[in-house]
Amino acid sequence: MKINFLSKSEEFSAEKLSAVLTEHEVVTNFDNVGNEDILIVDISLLENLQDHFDYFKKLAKNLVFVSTSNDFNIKFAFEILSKSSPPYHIVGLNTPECLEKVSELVGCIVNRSTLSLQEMLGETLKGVEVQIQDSSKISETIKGALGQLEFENCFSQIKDTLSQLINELLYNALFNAPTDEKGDQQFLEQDRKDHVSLDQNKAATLQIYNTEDKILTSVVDHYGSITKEVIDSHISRNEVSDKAGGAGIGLSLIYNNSHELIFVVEPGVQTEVISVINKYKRYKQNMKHVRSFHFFIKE
Amino acid sequence: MPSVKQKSLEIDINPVDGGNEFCLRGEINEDLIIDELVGFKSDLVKVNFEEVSMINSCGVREWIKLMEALANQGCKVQYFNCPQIVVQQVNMVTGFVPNQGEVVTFYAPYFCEDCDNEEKVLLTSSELKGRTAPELKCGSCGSESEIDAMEDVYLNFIPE
Repeated sequence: MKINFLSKSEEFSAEKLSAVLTEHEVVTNFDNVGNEDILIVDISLLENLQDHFDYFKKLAKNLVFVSTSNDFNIKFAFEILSKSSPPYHIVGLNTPECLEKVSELVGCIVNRSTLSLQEMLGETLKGVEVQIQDSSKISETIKGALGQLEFENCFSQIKDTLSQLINELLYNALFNAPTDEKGDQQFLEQDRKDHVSLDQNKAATLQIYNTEDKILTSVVDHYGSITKEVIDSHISRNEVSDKAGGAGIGLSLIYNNSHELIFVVEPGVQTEVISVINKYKRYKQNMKHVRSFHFFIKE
Repeated sequence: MPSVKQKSLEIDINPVDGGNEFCLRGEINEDLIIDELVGFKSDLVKVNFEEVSMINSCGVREWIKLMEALANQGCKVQYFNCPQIVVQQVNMVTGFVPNQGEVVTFYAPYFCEDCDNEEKVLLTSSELKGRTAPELKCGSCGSESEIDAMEDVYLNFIPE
């Protein structure tokens, strides 16, 4: 497989990528881009490429954006991604692991596999797993789960961050995810003051794992109803919705509180949303970490 | 001193010069009932966020509705003692601070490299020079302590 690569970053160069992706050819021009090839593009170059991008999108089915800063035009990036087919990815680059992460993603694309929580866990210190089916229990569930964990070597507000993040993930799982037999969303427009209670076999699963250098949070719903269109329209929202139902900014809050956000969707079956937060003693370092995003469809 | 007790949030209402102070305690979420607060009409509402423990997206929406209702009454709003979780919403969400409102004081994380001490320091918006946080003395060892946040992001709500 050919990796078509376009970046001006010295940290992320074709030479360094070639050293990691030894089984693939890394090229830096767009001649003969094949449909099954992978296109890796530095987001900071996107606006210059805009006129040419429709051309590239048609050629390369597999798209990976890389970014050295959180200060990119995320709406534009997602607008481009929305026009291509999953899987799609934005990889943050100011971490030592970025090349390995890109290599891992290339492996997923080639093997048609996904990133998974189990593979990310490594030597896990401690984890919590809990089922939740009743939205009135969200707050106490979160307090109970976080109360069992101590996050050493992490900035002091981490539990506040996790509390908000998990709150939004669970509300999405219990209100936005459920569909009826026809596939229509059951509770999307329901007033959030009115609680929902799912059948036990449809309960959402919350997992929180605390490793030496990361905190991994996963919420699984058993509906698999989220679409990339929903993600595209909500991931960077900063205005609340005046429609019935949710406020419309939950996904944006989740993304902004995560260093890596991964969706693995099995349509009609389940969705797993994994949030990864790298542990930093300094909140400033936490803010500087460039966010990554991954969306997989599990066939 | 009237107090409004809602499911997730308690609000103590104190009369102050020119208006009322709302002291919040608990979570700002979908259970916020704004009608119980809009009735306390005044020219000015000072909101004390010191004891807000969590705010979610539905709470943000209800809060914005409350601000809009107060604005319709011609009420000016001032925010005090905003913890980090509130500062995040101030910076992220359009309308969280209404047009007729301002953030007067807020907490910023500070870190001392010499002794690893973390502190939450209360800053006054009007005393900042643009979006530059002051260097302060560490409360533990007295060395220079700096804001532990990206200033252009954390202080984005401060007018330049």
